[in-house]
Amino acid sequence: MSSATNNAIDKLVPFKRDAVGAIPEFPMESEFDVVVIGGGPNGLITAAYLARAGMSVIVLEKRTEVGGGLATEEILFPCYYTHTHAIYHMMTDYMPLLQDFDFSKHGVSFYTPNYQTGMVYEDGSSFVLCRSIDDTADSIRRLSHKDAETFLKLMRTWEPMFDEILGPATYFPPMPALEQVVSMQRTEIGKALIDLTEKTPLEVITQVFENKKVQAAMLYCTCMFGLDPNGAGLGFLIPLLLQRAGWNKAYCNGGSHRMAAALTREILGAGGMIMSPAPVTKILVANGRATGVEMYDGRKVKAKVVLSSLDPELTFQQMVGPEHLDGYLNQTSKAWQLEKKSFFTTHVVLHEPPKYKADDAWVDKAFMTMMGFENVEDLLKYWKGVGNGEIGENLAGHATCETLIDPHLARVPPVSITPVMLDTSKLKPRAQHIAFFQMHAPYDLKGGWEKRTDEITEMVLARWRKYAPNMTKENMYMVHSETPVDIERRLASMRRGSFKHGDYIPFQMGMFRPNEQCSSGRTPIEGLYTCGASNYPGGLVLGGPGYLAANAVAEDFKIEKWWKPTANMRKYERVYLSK
Amino acid sequence: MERYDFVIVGGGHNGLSTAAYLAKSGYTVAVAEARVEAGGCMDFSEVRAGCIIQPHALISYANAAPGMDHLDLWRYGLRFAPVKGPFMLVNSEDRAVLGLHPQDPVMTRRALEVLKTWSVKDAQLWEKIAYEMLPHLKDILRSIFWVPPWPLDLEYEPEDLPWYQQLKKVMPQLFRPEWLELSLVEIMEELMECGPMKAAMMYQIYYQGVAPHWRKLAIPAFGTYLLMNYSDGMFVGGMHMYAHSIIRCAMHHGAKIFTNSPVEEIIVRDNRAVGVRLSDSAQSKEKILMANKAVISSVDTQQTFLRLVGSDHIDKSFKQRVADLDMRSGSCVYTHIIAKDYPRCKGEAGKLMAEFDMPPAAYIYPMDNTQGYLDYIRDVEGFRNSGKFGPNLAGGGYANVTALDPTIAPEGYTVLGGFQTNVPPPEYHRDGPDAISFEKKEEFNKMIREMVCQMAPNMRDKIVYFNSNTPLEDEFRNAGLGGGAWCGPAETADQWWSNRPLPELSRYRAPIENLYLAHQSQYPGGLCLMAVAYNLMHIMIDDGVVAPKAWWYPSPWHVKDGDKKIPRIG
Repeated sequence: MSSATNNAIDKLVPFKRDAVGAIPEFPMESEFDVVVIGGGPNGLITAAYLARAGMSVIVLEKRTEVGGGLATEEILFPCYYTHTHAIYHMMTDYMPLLQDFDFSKHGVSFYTPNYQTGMVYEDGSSFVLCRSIDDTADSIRRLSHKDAETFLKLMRTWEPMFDEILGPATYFPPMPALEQVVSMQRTEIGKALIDLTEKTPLEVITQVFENKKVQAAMLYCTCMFGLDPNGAGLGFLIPLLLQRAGWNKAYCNGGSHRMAAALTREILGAGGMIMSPAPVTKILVANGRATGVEMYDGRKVKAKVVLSSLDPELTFQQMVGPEHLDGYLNQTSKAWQLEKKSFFTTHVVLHEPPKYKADDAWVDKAFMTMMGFENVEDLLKYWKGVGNGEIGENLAGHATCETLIDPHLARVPPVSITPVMLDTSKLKPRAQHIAFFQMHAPYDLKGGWEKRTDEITEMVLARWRKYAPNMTKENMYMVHSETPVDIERRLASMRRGSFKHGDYIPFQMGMFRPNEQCSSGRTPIEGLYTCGASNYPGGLVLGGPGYLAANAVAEDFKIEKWWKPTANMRKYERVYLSK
Repeated sequence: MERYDFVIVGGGHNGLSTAAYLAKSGYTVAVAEARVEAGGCMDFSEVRAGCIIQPHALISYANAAPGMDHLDLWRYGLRFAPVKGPFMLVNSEDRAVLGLHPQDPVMTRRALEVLKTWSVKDAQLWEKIAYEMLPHLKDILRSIFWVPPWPLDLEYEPEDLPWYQQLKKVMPQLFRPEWLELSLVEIMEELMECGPMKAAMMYQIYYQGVAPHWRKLAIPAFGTYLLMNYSDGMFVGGMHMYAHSIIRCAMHHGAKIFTNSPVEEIIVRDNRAVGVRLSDSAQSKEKILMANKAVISSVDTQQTFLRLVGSDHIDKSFKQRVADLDMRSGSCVYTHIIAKDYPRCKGEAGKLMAEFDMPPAAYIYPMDNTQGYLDYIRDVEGFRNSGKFGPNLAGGGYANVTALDPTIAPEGYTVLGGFQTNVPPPEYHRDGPDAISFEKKEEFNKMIREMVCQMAPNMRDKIVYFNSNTPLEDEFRNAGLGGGAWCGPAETADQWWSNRPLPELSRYRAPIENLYLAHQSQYPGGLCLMAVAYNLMHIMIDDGVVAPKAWWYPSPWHVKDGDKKIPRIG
């Protein structure tokens, strides 16, 4: 433990209104070592590391519940919980977080289904990407012998690429491009990765696989989180996203919010504080130094360290204010580009789970099922439409029925405790399943979301029904769609539905995420750090930005790190970073 | 197997506040909660992006709680949103009275002026109550709610009861011994004239559990009304933030809270509770939580004994009496509306509303007279049947919560909720537990929408979300709400004070050693008062199970077992 103080909570002095029934309230002014703006995954991760290091930490979250994208919410109200953002985790096997903290003591556990991602086509042909590469190859073989073999061969290069480089590098500060290239030259896998970099996802996928159907499914997995299929310069992300989104999805039992709950318990247990709803409106800066924050109700929290998990425009333009920025920071934070595609999600409560017209029996068991496109042309056409603010009947997306692996999400009998007084045999059977269909969608839809949500929901259900004929109105107890505008309304940091806090384009990645001055988590303003998805390595609950910012703060404030790099991080360091 | 000093079954209001008390007293505590989130009735749902509805508890009744002093909830982020804007009590002819806001002198003055136009007598009475009683309200409320029921063998007269002594001291002319026998409806009929005021009070009190037409409960019923007046607002962020501050207090002091961890059994050995067994599907790694000192059940009496303890450990007659408890308290269809405007009343009520440059804090409509309330009660409690209501009979109140707290909806949106229509609990419904089905919900939706639009025609094209929650859904969402009963067993005279829920359980002890009871089935019932936890602390301290810390203070009205002396005021 360091000498940092951790008794900020005990030192607080209450605020009291002048009224007979007034109760003591959280003070109008308080002081902590660290204030974190935003209680999403990264904000919580940073706070958890620093709180355990002995710093007094307060997290200020705008919403009622912390977690950001780790949101398991009862929006199919009442009784049915669903996920409004993160449904699964792609990096549970690499995140230092899960090795540094023992989340199992908070009842957090992960389940990695074998049947990961199903793909169904109009004619009923199908295949499943499985946790096991061999299972996947066997499934692909029904569409193409050659692609099955290619897949097995490709994974021989790509798997180590991930294990040795992409996985561990996620949790090291970014390197300048040239240095990166030099360091990659040290191994054959590194060289192969560099070769990929200048290629577009479309090129890579269509060159590798021959079967149109297989190509389409692989391209969808690679680009579902917003990688531009025609964009060059981020080719190294192809193996990462394909593998991770394709067949490394781990489900947090009880819903993704359990992970936020575990982080909350770590923070509070280490003497930290979390306050919600507590929207921050301003970062206080004096003499070039961040000194604290101000909340919507005028409450001020002073701190030596201010961490913002928001995107650069919100952090620098809105909260710090341009008057405190140098030319570069002013310009880069203003020029920050949000994502071009967001998501539209239709959540349903079902009497029975979707049964797909699919020749592979595993499709019905798959954690996620993709549908709505036969080849890459279909996909590109749909995505192009999205880029123009259009959604048509050719919509393509993916669906999940979470209750297949987590019945807790439906609070109805028999999962819910049966009330003792009731003779439940007299009750009508309740709908037991929740599921959703998700597709890429524009924030600026032609005609506007307010007018067209119902129409598009009908389109989605018709499309879904085409592949899973039992998705009839009779099978649905509730239907509710969330638009990109809703994403922004729920989580204000995801402006324009930008769930990664900023586009994945070459000049917003690596060293440039969010800009050259801030990608390590440090900013030119003393005491101000950035720790959100708009920082290297990006969003999708990788936990990278939060981890890196905690490291930066610990180093700058000479706080002893109680955590150590993981084994694969140490190996990466030895091979690629050592002098 | 893990060991704790205390294991608490259920992470609702009472379980959590007990956990916070015990953790802050220095003990190791584990709470096992069945649901995805802890908080019980202090919950919320962002049903539409940016708009939060509160399916159960809504406003604060707890400002007078000793727990506010003991638990320092403010350290854990608790903030308060005092009521702003008028409280509209509107009759079916669009005339209105304003509810009193004792914390807002300007509003109170205006409310008394308006009341005077209805009845000079009523205005005088309420002026007295508002100004003479307010400074003493905390003591009065504490004498009703924050005191363990007295031991069964204590001999005392009804006039010795703490609340009677306390009220008699503050307003000697007003409070007479007959009040102890009568119902509040009878007393109000005698003292008051303004129909809408009386009806609105009756509805509001009825929703809070202690029905104003039940005999012998006039003072506690009046007390529940005063609780609301004393607090006069809600917590910023809604009731779930209150839950957060209690949870964060408990966790800050080391308590463990396991969610998604339903308890299957309270383990009893040699008539002693030693721990709990969680369901196999529980997310907690450990499925057995052992308790060194005590197990505390924060689920209702029936579940505690009939399901968790089980028949082997209780005798047959006790079992029968537990099964026979009257559970019809506060079972309701609860409606929430999200709209792009707030209701603008018409007629005279509209003019009164326009006097204020802010939207009303609450509306209650249609409030005509005592008969309206009694007709409503007849349909709910008498016929054990629902669906007889028309828009003119439903009544109900709801707070315009965005006016109080901007964190609850985006600008331009109004969350109205909840609008309460009491119905028989599923178990008692003439047409079976499923009688209030999904189709019936639609009927309720329609009826309440019609009523709202009748009061405020501007709402016709402004509503974007409408949901009526049924008691059966409440029961499944929240297993602690047996019968969908918001307040546990009915708060009738024979299930109140030393009779709550049964005489031998009234001191929070079970007929099983080391098992204590901390559900709203215990005195003084629901409303998230931190009262069950506070009252239980007295008993555990007396039993030597808990050693009090310096911050603790007991109720001046507490009587220890075997003590024969009746506490006197002053």
